[in-house]
Amino acid sequence: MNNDIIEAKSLAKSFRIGLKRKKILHSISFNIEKEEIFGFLGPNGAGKTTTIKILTGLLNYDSGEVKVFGVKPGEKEARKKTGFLPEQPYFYEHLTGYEFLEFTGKLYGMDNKALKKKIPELLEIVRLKDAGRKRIRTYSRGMLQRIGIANALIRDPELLILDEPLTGLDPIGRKEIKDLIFEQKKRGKTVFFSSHILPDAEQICDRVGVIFNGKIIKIGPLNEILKERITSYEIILRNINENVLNGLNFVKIGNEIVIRTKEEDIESILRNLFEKSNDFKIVKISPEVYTLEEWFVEILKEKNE
Amino acid sequence: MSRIFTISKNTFRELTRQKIFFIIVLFGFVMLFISFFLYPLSVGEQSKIIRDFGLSAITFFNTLLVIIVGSTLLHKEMDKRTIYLVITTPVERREIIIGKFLGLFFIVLINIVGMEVFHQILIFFTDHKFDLKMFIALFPYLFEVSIIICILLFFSTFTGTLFSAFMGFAFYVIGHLIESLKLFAEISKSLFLKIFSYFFYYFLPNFEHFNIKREIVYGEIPDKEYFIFSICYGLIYIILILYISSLIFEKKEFK
Repeated sequence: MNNDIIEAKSLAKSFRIGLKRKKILHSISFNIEKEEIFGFLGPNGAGKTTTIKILTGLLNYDSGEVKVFGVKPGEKEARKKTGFLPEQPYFYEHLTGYEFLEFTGKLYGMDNKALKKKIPELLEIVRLKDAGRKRIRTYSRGMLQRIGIANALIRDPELLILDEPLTGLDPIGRKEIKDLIFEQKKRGKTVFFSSHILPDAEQICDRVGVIFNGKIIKIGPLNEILKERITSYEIILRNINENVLNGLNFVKIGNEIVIRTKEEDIESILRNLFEKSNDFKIVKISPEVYTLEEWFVEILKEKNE
Repeated sequence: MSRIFTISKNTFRELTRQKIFFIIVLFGFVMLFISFFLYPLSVGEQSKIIRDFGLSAITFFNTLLVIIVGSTLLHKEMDKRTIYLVITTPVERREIIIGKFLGLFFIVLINIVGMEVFHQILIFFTDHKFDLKMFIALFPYLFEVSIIICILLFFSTFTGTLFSAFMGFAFYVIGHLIESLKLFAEISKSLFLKIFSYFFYYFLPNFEHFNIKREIVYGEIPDKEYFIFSICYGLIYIILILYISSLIFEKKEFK
């Protein structure tokens, strides 16, 4: 059975700029499975927001095929099941947080009774309980982001599409949003979000797609992507005399010695050390993997070259 | 239907919380009040002057309110990107157009009624009696102002605020001078100008159909046929323009 919530095949989009058309998306394909957290990563201008706008029906596409819950994006059936947070969201400043949630809740077809129960719960979740009755124009950047998240969650959607949800938040705010995203996954929801805050994305994504200049250059489970990029190995030793380490690239951290080396040299280094001394302890031998951020910078450098 | 009501309620609430709304309404009331002081200047015609001036002030300030506020109805949503949060809910785009129309219409309706009540108080002070026929004069005007709202919404779906406001004003002026267009067509010697003038005469809304201020001030109440015709004429334009606006808005992309 097809488990895909979103399916995009050869999706292309261009905008007219003056007399010319500029291609923004070059035939991108991806799928988002049920109950996964998918991080859509890329530098500014890569095509992340354009893709999200297509998925939410705000933009049409030139060619290709896109399905959200099996129907064209923007169709009522898809909108009913989707919660959306735009990038740098703007709200009706004349409304209070409570009134705004009441407004969008009613557009989702919720009645007053359901809203009276749901809105205080959501305001509590996004830590806006006290600010719920204040006009949105008095909200800080972080509060706006949080009321936007509450809005995306109002109808308990099956799919959350969040455009840069972590931008503009302090570390505590980011943690809260990440916890909230995790919570949605636990509840069987699917989350598609774009971000350029890579360490955060690294912590919460099941899979990532990397978009650059309108093309998806990598897509897959995060651990597999990062496994491809083992830079070196670390051998951590304890109780070893530094004199036997002559000629090796090492650092001392507390009472431990960390040796960095290539995979093929591990065996010879250890054999050599055991010949000189046999009373030290091997604490750990582990591959040193790029962080998502290092990998990302590296791959963009390659593409730019 | 409940979604249309939700959008119209939000539009109503948004507009009534704007300063510009209060400024225009306040000016309207001030103008009505000024008519009270014209009373001693109009020897023999006092009653008519206060009625005529009052009705003109009500229609002028409500048209002004509609053009200024109505031209920003959709643009503000698009510029501030609040429309993203509405479009992505299960609301139909035509419901947004109709909701916006109704939101502004109800504001104008309440404002007209409020101004006319004030006008009646002024009439009472001068004539020592109310003249409820004035309300009848304002009934066809509701259709005129509704058509202007529709025109503003129509242009807002594909042009900017200033252009929408300009077109709203242009339609208002042409709509009141349209009989001159017919006269021009009749006397024009150029076939092209004749066809051009006749086309616009029949195509553009004739707002003079909704203007019975003079008749009412002079105590004449038009017959039932006039009101049936005005209602049908107004509704045809309102439905048609809202329908075309919805079709355009349905295809609109939000970059």
